[in-house]
Amino acid sequence: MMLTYRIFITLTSILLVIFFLFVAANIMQTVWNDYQTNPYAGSLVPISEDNQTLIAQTDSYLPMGIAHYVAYVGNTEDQSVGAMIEEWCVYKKCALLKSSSVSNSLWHKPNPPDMVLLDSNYLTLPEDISIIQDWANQGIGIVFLNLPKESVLADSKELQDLLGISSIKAANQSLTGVEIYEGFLLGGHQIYDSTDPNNKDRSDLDLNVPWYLLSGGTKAYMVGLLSDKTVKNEELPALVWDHPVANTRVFAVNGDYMNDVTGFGFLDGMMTEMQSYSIYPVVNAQSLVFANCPVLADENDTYMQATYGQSARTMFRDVIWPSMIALSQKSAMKITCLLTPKLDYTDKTVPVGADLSSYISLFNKYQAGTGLSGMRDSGTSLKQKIDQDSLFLKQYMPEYDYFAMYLEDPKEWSGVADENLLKSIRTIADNYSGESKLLSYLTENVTLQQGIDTGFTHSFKDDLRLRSVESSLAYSHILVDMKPLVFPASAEDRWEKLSPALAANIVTYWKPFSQFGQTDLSESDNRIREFLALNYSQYRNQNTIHLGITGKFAGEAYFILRTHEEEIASITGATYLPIEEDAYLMQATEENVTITLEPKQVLYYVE
Amino acid sequence: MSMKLLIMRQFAEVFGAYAVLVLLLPCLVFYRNVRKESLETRLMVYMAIGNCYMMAVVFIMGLFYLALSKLHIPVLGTGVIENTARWDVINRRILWIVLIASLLLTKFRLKRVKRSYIVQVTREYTIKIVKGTVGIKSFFLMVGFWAKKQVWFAGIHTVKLIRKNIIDAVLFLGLVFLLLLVYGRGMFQVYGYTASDMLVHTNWVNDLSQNHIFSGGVYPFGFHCIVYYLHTVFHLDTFVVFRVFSFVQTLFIHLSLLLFLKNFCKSRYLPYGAMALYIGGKFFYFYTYSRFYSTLPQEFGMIFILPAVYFLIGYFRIRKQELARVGKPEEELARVSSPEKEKKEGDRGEGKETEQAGKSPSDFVQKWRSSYRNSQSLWYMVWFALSVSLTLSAHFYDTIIAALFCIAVVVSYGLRFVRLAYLKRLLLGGGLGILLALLPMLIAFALGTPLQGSLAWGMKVAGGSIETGSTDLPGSKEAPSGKKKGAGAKTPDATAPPKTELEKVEHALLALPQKIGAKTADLLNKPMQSLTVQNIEFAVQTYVFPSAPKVVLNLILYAVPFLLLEGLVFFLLKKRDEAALLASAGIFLIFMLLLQAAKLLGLPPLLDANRCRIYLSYMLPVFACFALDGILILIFGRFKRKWILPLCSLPFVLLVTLFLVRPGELRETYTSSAEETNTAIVCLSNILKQETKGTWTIVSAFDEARLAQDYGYHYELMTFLQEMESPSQRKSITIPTPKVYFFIEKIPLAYDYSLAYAGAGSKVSQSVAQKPMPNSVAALDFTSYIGESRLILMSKMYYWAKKFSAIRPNEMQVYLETDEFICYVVEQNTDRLLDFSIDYGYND
Repeated sequence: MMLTYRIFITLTSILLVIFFLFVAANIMQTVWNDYQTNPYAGSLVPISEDNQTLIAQTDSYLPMGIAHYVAYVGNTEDQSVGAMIEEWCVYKKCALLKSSSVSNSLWHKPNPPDMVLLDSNYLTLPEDISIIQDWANQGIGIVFLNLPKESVLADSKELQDLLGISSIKAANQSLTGVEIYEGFLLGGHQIYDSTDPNNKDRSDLDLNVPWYLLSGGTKAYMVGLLSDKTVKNEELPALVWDHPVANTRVFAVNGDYMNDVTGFGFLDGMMTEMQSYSIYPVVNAQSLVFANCPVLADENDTYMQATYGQSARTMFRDVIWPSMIALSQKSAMKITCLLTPKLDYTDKTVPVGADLSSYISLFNKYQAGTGLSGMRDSGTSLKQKIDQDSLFLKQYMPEYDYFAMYLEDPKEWSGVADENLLKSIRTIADNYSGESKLLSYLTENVTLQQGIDTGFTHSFKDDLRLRSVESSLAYSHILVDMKPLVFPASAEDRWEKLSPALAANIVTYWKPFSQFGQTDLSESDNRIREFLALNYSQYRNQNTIHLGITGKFAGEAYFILRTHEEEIASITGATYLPIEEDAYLMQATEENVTITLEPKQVLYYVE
Repeated sequence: MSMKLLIMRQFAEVFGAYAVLVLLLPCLVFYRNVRKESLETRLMVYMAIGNCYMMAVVFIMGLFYLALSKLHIPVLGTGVIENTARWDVINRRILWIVLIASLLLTKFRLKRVKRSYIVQVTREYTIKIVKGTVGIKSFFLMVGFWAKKQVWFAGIHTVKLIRKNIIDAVLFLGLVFLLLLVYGRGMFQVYGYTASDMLVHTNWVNDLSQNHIFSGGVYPFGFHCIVYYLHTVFHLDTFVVFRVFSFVQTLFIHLSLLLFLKNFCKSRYLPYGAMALYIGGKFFYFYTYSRFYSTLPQEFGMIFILPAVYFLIGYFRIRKQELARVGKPEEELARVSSPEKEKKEGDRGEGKETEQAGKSPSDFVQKWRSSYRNSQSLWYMVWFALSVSLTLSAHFYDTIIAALFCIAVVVSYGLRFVRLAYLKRLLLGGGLGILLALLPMLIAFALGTPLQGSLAWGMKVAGGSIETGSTDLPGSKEAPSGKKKGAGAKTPDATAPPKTELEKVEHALLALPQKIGAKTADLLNKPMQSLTVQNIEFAVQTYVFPSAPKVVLNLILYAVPFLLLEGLVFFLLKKRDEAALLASAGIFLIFMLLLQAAKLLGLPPLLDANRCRIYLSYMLPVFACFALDGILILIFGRFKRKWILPLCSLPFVLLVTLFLVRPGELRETYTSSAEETNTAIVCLSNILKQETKGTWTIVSAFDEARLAQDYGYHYELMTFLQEMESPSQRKSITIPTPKVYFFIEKIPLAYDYSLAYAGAGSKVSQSVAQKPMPNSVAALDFTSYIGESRLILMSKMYYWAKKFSAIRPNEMQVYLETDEFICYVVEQNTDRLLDFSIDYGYND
C-alpha cells in the first residue's frame, strides 16, 4: 500500500493527539501547581487561646448552675492520674471538683457530681467505704482509678462487696496477655498476647496483677489472659469491670492504665456504660507527620554511601519519598513533611535549593503539609539553626509561609518565637512525653500537638493508648522522626528494616479508625483550635437528643455518639458516619443539632 | 407484619403441603386406576394412599436409623443444632428423592411403561443435556409445558365438575365457611398450643428430626411421622405445623364424614344439612368438639375411621356383584379372570405338572396378580387394610371405633361374612391392616425400645382400673406419664418389681387370663338392673347434650329401633344392601351408646367416656342421614324421575340453615385454654425470624424447649431460679449464647385446672415471690409449672428480671410487653458471659 500524504497526515495527527493527551495532564498539573505559597494560608481559623472554653476546676464548692461535673479524690498536682483527669475534663468540657480525701469532698447536695473518680492511694479505709456506698446509693457513678493493695482488699469485705469481688484467687498473678472486649473502647475486640512470637518486642504491659473473682451481675471490659487454658473465661483476672450498686455502677481498674492519656478512652467508655447513650466532642483529626524529612543536603555521606550506596538526598528522593506517597495512598492518611535544610551544621555540605522547590512542588501536588523541623546537632543552638535556615529558605522560597514546626523540646519555642521565619508558625509538633497536655496552647497563638506514636514501633501500650485516645478524641498523631536514617542511633535504624514496620503498623492499627478525618498538621491545628474553643450542652427527651453548641462555633464541630442497641433514625443540623456498632461520628454544621434514635431491633411480627 | 397474616400464611402452607401429598400427588399417579370410582371414593383412596406413603417412608427411615444406633453407628450428634440442621438437609434430600422416585416408578408401573423405554428416554435426555443439544433451561421449559398442560387439563376438568354439581359446590363451600367460622377462627384467637399433650408430641417429632424414632417408647407414631414429613420435606417448622395442623385435620375429618355420607345417601343434599347441624349446632356439649382445636393424634386418626368402614361395606357390595357375575366362589373367579392363561396351560397339556407348579410361590404371585388386576373388591380390601392401619398408626381409640363399626357391618352382612369367598379376603385385609400398623412398633420393640407409658395407661383405662373422666377438660390426660416425665420417660408400674421390658410384657400376658377372669366374674356378679335406658340417656345427656331439650335425647335413643326397623323394611323390600347399611348403623349406634354409658352400666369401658363422646357426636350425622335417607327413599324412591329424591333433601338443608342463622343458635368459637400466651408465640416467631440458628437461648417455663428445639437453646426457668436460691449454695449462672430471652408470664397461665388454688388467675406479686421455691422432682419437670408453683416461679422470675434490668439496663431490655406477659432480651459478650446470679431480694 502506498503511503499517501493524506494517510501520513492523518497518522501524524493521531500520534500528536495521543502524545498531547499523555503529557498534557502532567504539563497542566505543573503549570497550575502554585507551590510558591502555602495552600493552607487561606484556611486558617481565627481562633486563639482567648477563645478556649474555660472549664471550672476547683477544690471547693463549684459555682451553682454547673449541671454536670465530676469529682476527683486524689492529688491533682501529680503528673499521672491527677493530670490525666484534669486534661480529660478540659476535653470533655466538664467541670472538675477536686479534693484530697473522701471526707473533704464537698458539693451541694441537690447537685451531686455525675461521677466520682477515686485514686485509691488517697482513701482512708475502712471509714471511707460507707461514704462511698452512700454516694453510690445516691446514684453517683464511682470509678476506682486504681485499686488498693490486695492485702488491704483482703481485709475489707465491705470494699470487696462494693467492688463486686467475690473472692481473691491470687495476690499476684502472672498474665500472658490482656484482652479488651468490644464496645468499651472504639476499635473493637483486641487481644494483647505476649506469648505470640510475633509480639515478642511489643509486649510492655504490666502483666502481674492480683487475681480477683467477680460476683454475679458484674461486667468485665478488660481481662488478663492466663497460660492455664482450663480457666473459664468468666474467671479470668478482671482488669476493668463494673459492679452495679443501687442504681449506679462502681467501676474498678486493676492496673496502671489511668496514669496517662490512656485513661481518656477508659473514662469515656465508663461514661457510656453508665448511661443509655453518650455524646462528646472530638477533634476528628489524624495526622501522619514525617519530621526531618526530606533531607536537602548530602549529610553523613560516608555512612550513606557505605550503607545505601547513595547520598542522603538521592536516598530521600528516589527511595523514601515514593515509599511515603505509597503509604499515604494505602492508608488514606494525609502526610506532613517537616523539613530541615540541614541536620548537622558542623558539616560543610550545603543544602540544594533546587531540591527545596522541587519537594514543595511535590507536596503541593500530593496535598501534603509542609513545615519546619527544629532538629539539629547538639553543638548548634535553635536560634543559630533558624538563622542559617532563614537564609537558605528565603533565598529559594521567599514567599512560602510555614505553619507547623517540630521541636524536640517545646520550651525552646519561646527563644525563637520572634524570628522572622517562624512568624507564621501556628502549631508545634512534639513527641509524646506524658508531661504536658496532648492538645494545648503553647502560646496565645501557637498550639501544641503531641504525637502519640512514632510509627516505626507500636507496642501494646502504644496500641492501648491509640485506641483510648481515638475513642475519646478521634485524634491521632503519628510523628515519624526520619533523622535516624541519616544519623543512626543503632544498627536497626535502616530503611529496609524500618520501612516495612512503618507500613505494617500504620495500615494495620489505624484501620479501625479510618472513618476519622485525615489531616495534615495545619488542618489538625484548625480542628484543635475549634475543639478547644467549643462548648456544648445536650439532653435527651424520649428518643430525641438535643445538642446545642454554646462555645465558639467556627462552622463545624465534631462529636461522637455512642448508644446501646439504638441507631440514628434521623438527624438535623449535622451529618454522621457510622464508626462501628453503636458508635457514630457526627459533624455538626449548625449550632443546634437534633438526633432521633430508634431501637436497632424492631419486631417483624406484631399482634 | 401482623401475626394474623402470618398464621394465615402458615395455615396455607401446611394445608397446601398436606393437600398436595394426600390428594394431588396420589391423584396424579392413581387417577387412571380409580377413575371408574365415584369422586368421593377416589378422594378417600387418595387420602389413604398419601398418608400411608408418608408414614411408611418415615417409619422405614426412622427404623433404619434406630437399627444403626443399636449397632452403635452414630447417625446424629448429641442434640447439637448444627448437626440436627445438617441431618435435616440430608433427610430432606432423601425424602424428596424417594418421593420423586416413588411417583415416577409407580406411575410407570401403573401405566405399564416398559423398563427399556424408561432407560432409553432417560439415556436420550441425559446425553442431550450433557452434549448441550438440550439445555437445562430448555429441559425444564419442556417439563414446565407438560405441567402447564396438566394443570390446564385439571382446571378444565374441575370447572366442568363444579358446573355439573353447582349446588354441591355451593353447599360444600358453605360447610367450609362454617368450619372456618367455628374452628378456623380458633387459630387466630389462641396462637399457642391448646393442649398440654401437644408438647409431648412435639418433642417426639423433634426427636425424629434427630433420627430418634420412638424416643418416648413404642407408641402409635403415624401422626408424628406425618408431621415430621411435612416439617422435613417442606421445611415447615414443627411447632408451626402443630399450631395450625389442628384446623387442617379438622377439615379432613369433616371431609371424610361428608364423603362417607355422600357415598351412601341417595338424598343428595341431606349430608350437607346433617353436617351443618353437627358443625354449627350449639346444643352439643363443647367437650365433644373442643379437641378439634388441638393437633392431636386421636383426632388425626378420625380421618380414617369412616373410610375404613366405607371400604368394608364397599367390599361386601362389590364382592357380591363379582360373585354374582361369575356365580362361583373366589377361586373360580380368579380362574375366570385369567382364562387365557388357563387355556394356554391346557393347550400345553401340562396337566398335573401345572397343578404342582400352582403351588409354587411364583405361581401364587402370578395368580394373585391376575386376580387383583381384575378384582375391584380386592382393591377395596387393600384400601380397607390401609385405612385400618392408618387408624391404628394414629391412635388405638380410632381403631376401637372403626372396629365397632366394622363389627356392626359384619353382623349386618352376617350371611355374606360367613361365606369363605368373603371371609378369606376380609381376614387377610384386616390382618394386613393391623400388621402394617403394628410392624414398625414390633420392630422397634424387638430392637430394644421400651413401651411408651401411656400404652399401659390405655390398657388400664380399658380395664377400668383408671378413671380419667373425672374432669371435663379438653385435651386432658392424653399421655400423662409422657407429660410428667418428659421425653423418653416411661411409667413404672408401682407394683411390679424392676424388670426388663420383655419380661414385663411376658408378665402382663401371663396375668391377662387371670385378669379377664376376674373382670368377667365382676361383671356377672353385678346387678343387671344397671343396664337400663335411663342410664344410657343419662350418659348421653351428661356427656354429649347437657343443655339440649329432651326431644334430642329421645331422637337419639329412638334412632336405634328406627334404624333397625327401617333395615327390616328394606330387607322385606329385598333391598339387601340398604337394609344391611341401616342395620349396621343401628347396631353401631347401640355399641356407641353402650360404650358411652359403660361405666354406668357396669360394663368394661373400652375407652374413656370423655373421649367416647367425641366419636358418638361425630357419628350422629351418619345415624341421622341414614335414618332420614331411608324415609325419603321409602317415600320418594319409587318415582321414576331421579331428580325428585335429591330435590326433596334440599328443604332439609334450608331448614338447617334457617335454624343456624337464628341469633344465638350458631356455635361460637371455643376459646380453648392456651399452653402459651399469644405474646409468647409472637416473641418466638420474631426470634425465629430475626435470629441466627444457635445464637440464642430462651429462659422459660418448659414449653419453648420443645417449640424451638432445632433453632435455639432453652434454659429451664426452674433450674435458673434454683441455682441462685440460697446465698450459700448460689452458683454462677451463665448462658453461652449472644442473646438470651426471658419469657415471663405476668399473669401465669392456668396450666392445669385440676390444680385450682386460691390465687389462680392473679398477677405476679411481691407477696407470692416471697414464698419458698416449689419442690421440684427434677429439671424439665412439668409439675413445677402447674398450680400455685407456676405463680411462685413466675413471680420470682419477674422480680429477678426487674432487678437485673435495673442494674444492667443497657444489656437487658424489654423485648415485648403486654398486660399478661413480658419478654426481656439480654445481649451479652460471649467471650465473657454475664453472671445472672444476683441477690434480687426474693432469694430464699
